Amino acid sequence: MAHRATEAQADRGIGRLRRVQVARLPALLSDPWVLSVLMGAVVLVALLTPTAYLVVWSVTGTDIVGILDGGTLHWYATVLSSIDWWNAVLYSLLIAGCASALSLIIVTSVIYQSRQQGPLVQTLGTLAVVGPLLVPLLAYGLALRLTAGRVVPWEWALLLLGHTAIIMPVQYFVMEAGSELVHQHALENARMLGGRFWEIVFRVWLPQMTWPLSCAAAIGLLISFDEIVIATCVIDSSTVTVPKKLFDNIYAGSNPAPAVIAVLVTALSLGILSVLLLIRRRVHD
Amino acid sequence: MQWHRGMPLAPLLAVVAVFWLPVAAWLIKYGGWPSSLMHYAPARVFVNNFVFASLATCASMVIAFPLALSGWHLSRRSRTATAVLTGLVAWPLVVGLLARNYSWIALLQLAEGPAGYAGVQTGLIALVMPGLYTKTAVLVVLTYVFVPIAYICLLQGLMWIPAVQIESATLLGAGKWQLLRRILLPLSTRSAGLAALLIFFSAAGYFVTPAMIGGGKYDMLGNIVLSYVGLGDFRAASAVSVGLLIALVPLYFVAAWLIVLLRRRLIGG
Repeated sequence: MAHRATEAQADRGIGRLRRVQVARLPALLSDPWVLSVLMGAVVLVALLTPTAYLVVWSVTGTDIVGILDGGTLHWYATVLSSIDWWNAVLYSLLIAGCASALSLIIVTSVIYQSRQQGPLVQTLGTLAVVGPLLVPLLAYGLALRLTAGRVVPWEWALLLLGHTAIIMPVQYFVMEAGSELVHQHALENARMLGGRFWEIVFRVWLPQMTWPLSCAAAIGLLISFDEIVIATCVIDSSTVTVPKKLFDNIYAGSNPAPAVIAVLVTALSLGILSVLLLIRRRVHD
Repeated sequence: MQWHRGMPLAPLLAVVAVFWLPVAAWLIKYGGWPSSLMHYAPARVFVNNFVFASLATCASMVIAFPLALSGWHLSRRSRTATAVLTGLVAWPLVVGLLARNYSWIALLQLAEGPAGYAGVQTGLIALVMPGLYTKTAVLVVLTYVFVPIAYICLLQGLMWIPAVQIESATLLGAGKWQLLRRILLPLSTRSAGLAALLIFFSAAGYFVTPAMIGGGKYDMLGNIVLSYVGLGDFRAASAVSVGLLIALVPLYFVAAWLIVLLRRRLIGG
């Protein structure tokens, strides 16, 4: 009898526990943070599925889009052994590297110089640099081709100008956010101690901006490498960038070459990220 | 000679030379009121374009907000977790726009299955996935393209909210929903507004996704401009582009005002 009474009590206890757990469920779902995390998880899965599918498609795809086959590195071999793809990749990397560097020089100069000016000049500088975000890229691409193209007749120069213009706003935001890392008193002390303009820039300000500079350079490189609008407006010759080559082939059938390119670009980005983390560790040390 | 004192002008001149000068010269040459604009692109094309861009903008912001909110909530416990989440969300941006559109072509074809090649959709997946070369597919992929950008802008806006305001509200007895409704949402409105405008400006002139996912059946203004460029009719392409610019002018002032306000908040200048 005592044993059965104990069992009955235990059953009631378990039942209460289950009721509490079930009752807690609606309370959890009414918590905005829990809801946001759940919804965010669903969105994240939806965001990553297509990019994950690229890897699958690059090793199991066939000439008919959407049909998968057994694993094969055939498409990697096709792309890596193609002179056309190598030319496109090297051309894209060259333009991206030069555009990112040029944009970084301009943005760094704007940020450093405008801090020593009044609020009006600072605001005008911000609007001038950020302006390319507000103008449809297609309009700028046309403007570049029809007007700058008369002064600068080379496609690579127009591409360089165009990519520099579109990278500037993004690098500006990254550098502005990173400028909080700069110790202003270090700059003032350097001036009071008689430091010359270029000395202060290269020996005080830039070393403190190493991390934002690296991030801005990497982001600029990736944005320029993936740019298609300016390339479509400006390029007429057979020397094309990677995005232009991909876009020109959309109606020529879709073998997994774009997936291969995407996986290779992802690998390149992982390499750049590793370098950035090394730089960050060195800066903090 | 302290020639570097003239330097404040040098980087601004470079910006003007690289961007503003070509745009100004183009507007002067091709931007007289485009009286023949309606011949190249009827009014309904403009309306459809802006409605489509608005739908993509709203959908991106609504979908990105819970993600940004969870990122902000995680940052209060672990910055590393937020950094990892941001890295995962931004990963599609690294992969590339065209590759992402190609992956959607492959996914949508896969969802249709072999029977899809005969024009018949089958399977449970077909219930939730739109078919390729449909308007819904273009809207879905356009939204997918802009969600990471919306997330980054919204997260930045939430992170700029002073922690002391959150703590004060909590100490004064504000519940979680009150915190969300009366502190987080109002204080992140400017960043959200700027994000929405930036996405709208991009979407209004977009042509890549409508061309690849729409199969050329659902042209936005960007596709019309591109087709004129392909035909070598730059006057027509310019007329349509100028029309697009003129239609966006009121929003430019709003965006400029938001940028200046946000800059003052960030820099204090």
